[in-house]
Amino acid sequence: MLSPTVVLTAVCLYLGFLILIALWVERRTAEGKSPANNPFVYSLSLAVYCTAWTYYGSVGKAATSGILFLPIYLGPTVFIALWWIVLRKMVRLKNAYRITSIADFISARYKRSQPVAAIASIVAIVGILPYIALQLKAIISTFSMVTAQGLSDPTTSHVQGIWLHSHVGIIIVALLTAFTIILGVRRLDPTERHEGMMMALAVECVVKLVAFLAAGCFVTYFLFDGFADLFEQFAASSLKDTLTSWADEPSGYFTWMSYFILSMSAILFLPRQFHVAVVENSDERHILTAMWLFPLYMLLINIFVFPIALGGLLMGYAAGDADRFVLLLPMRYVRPWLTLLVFIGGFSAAAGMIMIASVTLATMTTNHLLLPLVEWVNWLNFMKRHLLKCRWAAVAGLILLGYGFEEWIFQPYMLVSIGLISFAAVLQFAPAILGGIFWRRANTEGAILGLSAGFLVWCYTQMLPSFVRNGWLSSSLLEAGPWGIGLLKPEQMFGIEGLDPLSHTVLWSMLFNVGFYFVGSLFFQETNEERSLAEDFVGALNVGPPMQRTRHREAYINLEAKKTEIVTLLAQYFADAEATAVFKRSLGETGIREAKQISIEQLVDLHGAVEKYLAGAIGSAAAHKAMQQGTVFSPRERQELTEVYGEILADLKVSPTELKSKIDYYQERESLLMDQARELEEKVRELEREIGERKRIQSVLREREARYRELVETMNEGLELEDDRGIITYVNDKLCEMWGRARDEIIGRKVEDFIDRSQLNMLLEKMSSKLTGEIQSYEATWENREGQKISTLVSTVPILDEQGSLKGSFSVITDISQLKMLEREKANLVSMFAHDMRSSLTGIHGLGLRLFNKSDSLDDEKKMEYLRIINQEAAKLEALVDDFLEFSRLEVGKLKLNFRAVSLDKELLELFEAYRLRASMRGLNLEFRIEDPLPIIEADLNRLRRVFTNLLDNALKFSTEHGTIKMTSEETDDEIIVRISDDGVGIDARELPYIFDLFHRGQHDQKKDGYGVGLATVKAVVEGHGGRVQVTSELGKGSVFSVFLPKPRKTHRE
Amino acid sequence: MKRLCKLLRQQEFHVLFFAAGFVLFNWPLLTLFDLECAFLFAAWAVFIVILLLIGTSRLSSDSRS
Repeated sequence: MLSPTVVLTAVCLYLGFLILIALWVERRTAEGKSPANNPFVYSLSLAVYCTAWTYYGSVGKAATSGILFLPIYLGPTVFIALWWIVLRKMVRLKNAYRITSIADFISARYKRSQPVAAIASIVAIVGILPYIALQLKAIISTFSMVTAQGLSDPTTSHVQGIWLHSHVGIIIVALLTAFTIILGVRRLDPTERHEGMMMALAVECVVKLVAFLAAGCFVTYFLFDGFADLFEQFAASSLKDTLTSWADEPSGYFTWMSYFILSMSAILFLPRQFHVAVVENSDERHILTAMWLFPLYMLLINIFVFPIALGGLLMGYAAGDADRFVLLLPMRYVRPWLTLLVFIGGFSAAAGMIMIASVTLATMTTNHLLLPLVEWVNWLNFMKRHLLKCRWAAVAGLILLGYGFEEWIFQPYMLVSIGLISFAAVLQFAPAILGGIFWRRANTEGAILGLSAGFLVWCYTQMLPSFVRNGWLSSSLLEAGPWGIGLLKPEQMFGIEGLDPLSHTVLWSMLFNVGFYFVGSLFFQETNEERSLAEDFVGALNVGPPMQRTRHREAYINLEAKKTEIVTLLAQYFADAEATAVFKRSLGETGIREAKQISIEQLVDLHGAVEKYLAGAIGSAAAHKAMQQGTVFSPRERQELTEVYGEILADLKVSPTELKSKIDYYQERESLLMDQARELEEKVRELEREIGERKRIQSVLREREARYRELVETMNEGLELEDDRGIITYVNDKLCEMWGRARDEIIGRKVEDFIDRSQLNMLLEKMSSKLTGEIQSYEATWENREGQKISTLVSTVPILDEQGSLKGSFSVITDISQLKMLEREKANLVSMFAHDMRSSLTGIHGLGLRLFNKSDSLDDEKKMEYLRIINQEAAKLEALVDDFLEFSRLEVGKLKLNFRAVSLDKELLELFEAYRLRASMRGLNLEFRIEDPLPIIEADLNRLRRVFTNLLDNALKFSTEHGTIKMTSEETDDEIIVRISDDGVGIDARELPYIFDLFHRGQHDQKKDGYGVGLATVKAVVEGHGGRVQVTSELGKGSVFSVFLPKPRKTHRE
Repeated sequence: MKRLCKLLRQQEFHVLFFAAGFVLFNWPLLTLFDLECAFLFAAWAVFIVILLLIGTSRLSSDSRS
C-alpha cells in the first residue's frame, strides 16, 4: 500500500516539523514569551504516558481480556485526585533542590546519598529499557506492516525498498537518537527544563490522539454503523464470554487491582512521567488543569479501543493479532492516507516516550553512575568537562540497548506484557518516594534496603522467567524452583499459586520493599541532616511565616577568594565562560553582585545557589558531594555556621500537634543545643575577656599615639621618618617651617634633596652607616626654599626589624643657627674685649714707663696729662670689667637686687639733667615729659638707673644729627611705663627678636662701641623687678623702648 | 455553591475522593458495573467532571487570593 520511501520520508518530515516547533518555542522562550509555559501544554505533555503500548497494545488487551485494559487508565485517574497534595509537594521540592530526575529526587530526600541515587538509576534503567524496546518494536513492526504491500508495487524501486525494509530498525534508532539529542540534550541546561521539547511532545500527543480517533471513527462509523451496531453484533456473537472470562478466574479481580495499583504508581514514578510532571513543571497551578485535562485525554484515547478491538474480532482477525488492529483495518479497506496518519500517530506515541525516557535515563546515567565513577577513578576526571558528550553517548547507548532488547529478548511477549514489566519495576520507587515526603522517620538505610529488596524480587520474578522463556535458562527453574526448592519458584514464591505473574511480582516485591523500608528506617537512627531534610520534604506544603534571618553578621569573607574557589569547582563540569556565568548568576540570585566582602549567611546562600545550578546539571547528590569537596570553610566560618544553624533551629516554630510528633527530635536537638550553647557561652565569655583587654590596650595605644603625635607636632625640633629606601614618609610642622616647605613638597623625596650641596658627601656617608644600626649625630646645613642656609644638629636613629635588617629611620633635627651666630658673636666679643683691654693696658703701661723712666725730664703739665690719660684708660678698663662681671652674673643667673623705696620722678629728672648737656653737645634735643607724678616704688636704684642710662646711651649713640630724644613716663592701673624714644637709624625688623640677647650687636653696633651686654642687662634688671621691656622700631625712623614696671600694691605718693 | 467550592478545595476531600475512586473502580464495587464498558466510561467521565470542579475551584480561589 505504502512504499518504504514514502513512509520514511513522512517520518522525516514529521520529525523535522517537530524540531522546527521546538526551536521556535526555544527562541520565544529566550525572548521571555514561552508558548510552552501554559497548563494545556503541560497537561498534553503528560499524555506521554499513552505510548505505543496504549496506541496498539490497549486494543490488543481489549481483544483478549475485554475491559482489563481499563485499570491502566482508571488507576491514574483516581490517583490524580491526590495530585494537588502529592505532585504539588514534589514540584515544590524540585524547585527547592533543582531536582533533575526521579533518582535525584529520591537521593535528595535521603541525605543526597549517591548509593541511593545509583540504585534508583539502575532500577530505572533496567526497568525502562524493555519499555524502550517495546516502543521500537511497535515502530519497526508497524513500519513493516504498512510497507509490506508497497514492496510489491512495481512503481517503487524494488531494491531500495528492500534495503530500507531490512534496515528500518537501525535507521529508526539513528533518527530517534538524533531527534532526542537535538530536542532534549542539545546543551547542558542547569535548569533541566526543555520548553521546546515539551511543546514538541504536546504536539505529538495531539497527533496521536487525532490519529487514534480517526482510526476509531473509521472503524465505528465506516466499517460499522456506530457504537450501537458494534455492540449489538458483539452481544450477538460468542466473543462476549471470551472477553469477560478473566473475571471468572479466581485471580481476575486481583489482576485488575494489580494493574490499577501499578498504573497509579506509573503515572508519576515512571521516569518520563516524573520528568514531565515534576521536572518540567513551571507553575504548580498547571497541576490543577492537568488534573482534569489529562484524565479527559486518557478517556478520549480509550473511547475507541473497545470498538476497534471488537471490529477486528468481528471481521475475523485473530485475537493474537489484536495489537495491530488499529493499522490492519484501515489497510484492509485500502485507506493509504488514513494508514499513514495512523502510523504517524503510533510513531508519535513511541517516539515521544523514547525521547523523554532516554533523556531522563541519560541524565541519571551520567549524574548518578558515571560521575561517581569518575570521582572514584582519578584518570577519568577529564570526563567532567565532557558531560554533554557523555549524555549524547548515553542517549545513543540507551536507544541502542532498547533496540537490542527488542531484537533478542522480548520477542515472545505481547506489547502489554512488556509494558507492565516496566510498571512493576518503577513501582519499587513508590515506598521510598511516598514515605520520603510523608514520613519523617524514613532514612537512607531504609530506602536502600527497600529499593534493593524490591528490585531483586522484581528481577527474580519477572526477569528470570523471561530469560527462561527465551531459552537462556533451564525451564526447570520455573517448574521446580532453584535447586528443586519449590518455595522459591520465581512465579510461585513461598507456594502462592493462582496469581498471574505480574500480580505475583507486585505482591512479593511490595512486601519485601515496604517491609525492608520500614524496618530499615526504624532500625537505623536518622542523622541530623536527614532530620532536616525530612522536615523540608514532609513540610514542603506548609506555608508558614518566612524564617527570620539570623542576627546580622560581619561581612569579612573575601568574595574574590571564594569566587576563585567556586569557579574552579564549576570549571570541572562547565566550560570556563559558562562556569563564570553560573557564578555570576548565583551572585545575582544571592543579591551580592556588587559586594567585596560577605557574611557567613551570604556565603551559605551563595553555596546554595551554586549547588542548585550544579544540581541542575549533575544532580543533587553529585552536586552536594562536589560542593563538599570543592569548598573550604575556615575555622571562623565553621564556628559562625554552627551559630547560624543553632539560631535557625531555635527559630523553628511548629504547631502543638507537630511538636508532639517531633518531641523526641526536639528533645535531642535541645540537648545538643544546650551543650553547644554552653560551649558557646564559655567561648563568648573568653572572647569578651579578650575583647575587653584588646579594647583597653587599644585605648592606651590611642592615647599614647595622640600624646606622641601632639608631642612630635609641637616639639621645637624637626622630625622626619624615612623608609628603608631613604624616602621621607613623615615630617612634623617644625621641620616644614625650618625648611620653608609644605609637607607635600617633602614627603616622597629624599633628604639629599634638601641638604646644602657642599655637605652632600658627608650626608651620604652618614646615611650609609645607618645600615650598621648605629645612632648618628652630626651637624648639617640645609637650604630652605629661598636658598637661606639653616644650621642644624641631626640625630638619626635607624629602625631595624627582628632580623636586624633596616626598615627605616627617623631623624631629630635641631635648628642651631642662632646658637651658631651667638657663638660667632661671643668669639668676636672676646676678641674685641681682649683687644680693648690690650689697648688700654698698653697705653697705661707705656705712659707709666715714660713717667717712671723720664720723670725728671718731663714737666708737670706733661706728667698731669699722662696721669689723666692713665686714669681715663683705667676707668675704661674698670667699666669694661664691670660689664663683664654683669655679663657673668647675667649668664649664671646670679643677678642680685637690693630693693628700697625709690622716687622714679626724681631719678628720671636727674638723668634728664645729666644727659641734656651731653645731648646738646652732640647737636641733639632731649625732651622729658611726665604726665602725672609717679608713685614711690620698691626698686634697686643703682640697677634701675643703669637701665635708663643704657637706654639713653643707646638713644644718643644711634640718633642722627639734630635728632630728638624723648623721655616720657605714665602709669596705668597696674604698671608704670617709661618710654625712651629717638628718631635715629632704627633697627632692622629681622633683628628685633634678638636685640635683648646677650652679645647681640645689631648691624649698626658693628661700627659703634659695645659688646652686646647693655640691652641684655636692661632686660634682666627689668624682669628682676617683675616688669618687662618692649621695643618698637622702624629702620630709618627711630626706635621706642618701653619699660613696664609693676606698681606696688600700696603706693606712696610724694 | 460557595460551600461546595470550599469542600472541593479541602485536601481531606481530595483524599476521600481518591479513596472513593479506588473503592468504586475495584472489586467488589466494580461488579456493580456488570463489566459493561459503557457504565465504566460513564463513571470515569463523572470522576473527571469532579476533578474539573476541584481544579477550577482551586484556581478561582487562588486567583481571588
